[in-house]
Amino acid sequence: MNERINNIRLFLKKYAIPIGLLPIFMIVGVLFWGGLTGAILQSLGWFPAIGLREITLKYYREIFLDTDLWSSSGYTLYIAIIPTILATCISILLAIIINDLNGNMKKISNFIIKIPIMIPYLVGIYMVIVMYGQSGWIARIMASLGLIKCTSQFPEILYSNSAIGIIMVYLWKQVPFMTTIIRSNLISVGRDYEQVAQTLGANNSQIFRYVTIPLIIPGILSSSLLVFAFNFGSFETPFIVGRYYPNTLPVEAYKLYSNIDLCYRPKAMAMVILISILSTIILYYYEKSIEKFKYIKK
Amino acid sequence: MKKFILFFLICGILVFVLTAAVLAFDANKALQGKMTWEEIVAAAKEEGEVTFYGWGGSAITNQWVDNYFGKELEERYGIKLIRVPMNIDDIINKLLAEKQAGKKVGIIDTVWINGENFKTAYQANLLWGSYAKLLPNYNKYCKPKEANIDFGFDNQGFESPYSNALFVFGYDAAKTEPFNNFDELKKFVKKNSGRFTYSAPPDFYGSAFVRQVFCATTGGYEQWLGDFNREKFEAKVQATWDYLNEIEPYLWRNGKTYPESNAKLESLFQMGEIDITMNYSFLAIQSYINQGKIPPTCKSFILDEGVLSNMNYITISGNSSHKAAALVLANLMMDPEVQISKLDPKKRGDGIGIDISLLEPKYVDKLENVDLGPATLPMDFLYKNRIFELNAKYTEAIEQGWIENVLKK
Repeated sequence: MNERINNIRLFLKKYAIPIGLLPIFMIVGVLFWGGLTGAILQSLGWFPAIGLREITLKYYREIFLDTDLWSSSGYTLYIAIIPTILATCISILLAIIINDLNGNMKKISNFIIKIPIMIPYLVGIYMVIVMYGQSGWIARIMASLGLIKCTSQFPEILYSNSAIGIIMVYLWKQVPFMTTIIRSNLISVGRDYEQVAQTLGANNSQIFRYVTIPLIIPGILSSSLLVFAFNFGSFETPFIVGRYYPNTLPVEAYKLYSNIDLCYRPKAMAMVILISILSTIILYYYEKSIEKFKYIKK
Repeated sequence: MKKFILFFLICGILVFVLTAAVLAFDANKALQGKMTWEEIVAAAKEEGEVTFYGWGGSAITNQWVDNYFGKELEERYGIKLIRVPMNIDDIINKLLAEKQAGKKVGIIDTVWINGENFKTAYQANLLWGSYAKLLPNYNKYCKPKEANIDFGFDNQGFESPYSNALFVFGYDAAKTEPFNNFDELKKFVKKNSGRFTYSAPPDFYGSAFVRQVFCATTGGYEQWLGDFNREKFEAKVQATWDYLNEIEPYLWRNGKTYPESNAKLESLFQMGEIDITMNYSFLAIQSYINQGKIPPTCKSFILDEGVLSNMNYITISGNSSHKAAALVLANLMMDPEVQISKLDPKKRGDGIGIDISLLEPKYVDKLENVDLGPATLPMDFLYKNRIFELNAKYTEAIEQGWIENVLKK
């Protein structure tokens, strides 16, 4: 009897890690890989529910022949990259500034910056529409002050190629997020290194470039990576305040998916697979290119 | 003693099985007309609840369904209505997914549907069957010849009428002088650059607007009622694209972008960014005024080319687990009292789905006493100018063609 219990104990000890990982593997395996496999099969034309049983690359070909795919990809990359770069730069500065504040000012700014993190994107979208639309507050105030002749002269911030509306929503939400992460990084690193650099005669810009930045690089990298991945696959913001056509890849995939003609389904799935491949490639190269920075302090 | 217990048990089981057999609702038997309406109503009460899936983007519509229709269903038949707001493409995806998974007892009982959506669901075998003829109110208040034609497609009684939609335009009489036909629309947009647009098809409203342009530029809707004729369609449709491309530079945002939904079109109108709105409900303008969303000076108007008219329906899904209750729901929806309540813009403001000419005099009186409001055009005037929906195949072809020839150009 004792031996048996011992055996079980040994077994558990030996396979502790796989057993511990089982629940998460089940979730990822069923929900993620299951979904992905289904999507790949449908994109290849396997969709028995509507009588499609022929495996073909036809749908991928159709997508690649569509010239708007490239315009859509460009738009997607544009609204993924620009807000990420802007948010990163602003957040680094903000984090350092807040970190240097004292007493109540620090508490207040800390509180203010955390508010947008708790508010959903949709609220931000709504605020942008109400404030910056051509019939929004700012346009109306400017028109009544005589700065512009009529509200339609107000610059096209929403639904436009420049996607300023989308970028504004992203920045509003993501700058606080990145600032919080970078700031916690700054706090954990402490002031010691900067003070050492100062006593050794480094000036402020040198401290910033050679001491502060390398120390907080992990926080910058992880948060900007999250932000970029989110922006690339995000749906609701471009869907509501983006241009109608060609919109970002996820929105175009959704439009195909929701087409009432079920024959468009494989094409939508091909698009989804394409998005997955693209984002995997981008993330891979992103990780690789930042590897150089990662160990700068060692 | 043991034998006695056994006997008792067997008797008990027998009684249980027999009552279950009597009470259970045999869907196939009902569909073949082998059950009386009273038996169906009794079975429905036994089932006790029914789900109703459909578009839920309008607060007043939802309130009417919950507070009026749901209550009637509960009080008259003891059935609890569970309204689930969901867009029709998601509903069909859900039905399809349940079918793919082989789920025999589904969660969706009834669906608000019409047109190409119905056709897709019908062709994918997602629906129950030809049930309309079982409903007393359908037999009393509908002419199958008209009630069964859904976007030129014979629905064979797989769905039963809910509402009649009449497509009208809206404007603010204090600000704008409207147009009377599509030629004047062209002049209107050129004069008022940036003040008109339509939502991008396949959105309902945008699609209906483009179909109206199609009928107007190709010489009338009558020729497009029959079967789909691709050659004829392609020979004539170019005029439609020419018209839409000609007005495009004068649309909102110079036609570089379109509102992606009718909700956005309506909010543009409400915020004053555009001068003209459009709606599938001829009572919508009044209803919005009542809700305080638009000024009381707003009015409905129609074009000389006619009022696009179609029906929307309730259908019962193939794997519904409350088919008797679903039948009772579909029947109650065609009740004249219910339809008249639905018409009142203070309560909801939605067209009559049953045939007015078949109503008893007492209901006709009631109908005429409903105050449709000053912003609404008289119903008989709208009915006189009615034009009917094209075959759903044309709708699909027009929506696809719009993307290729107008949006991408």
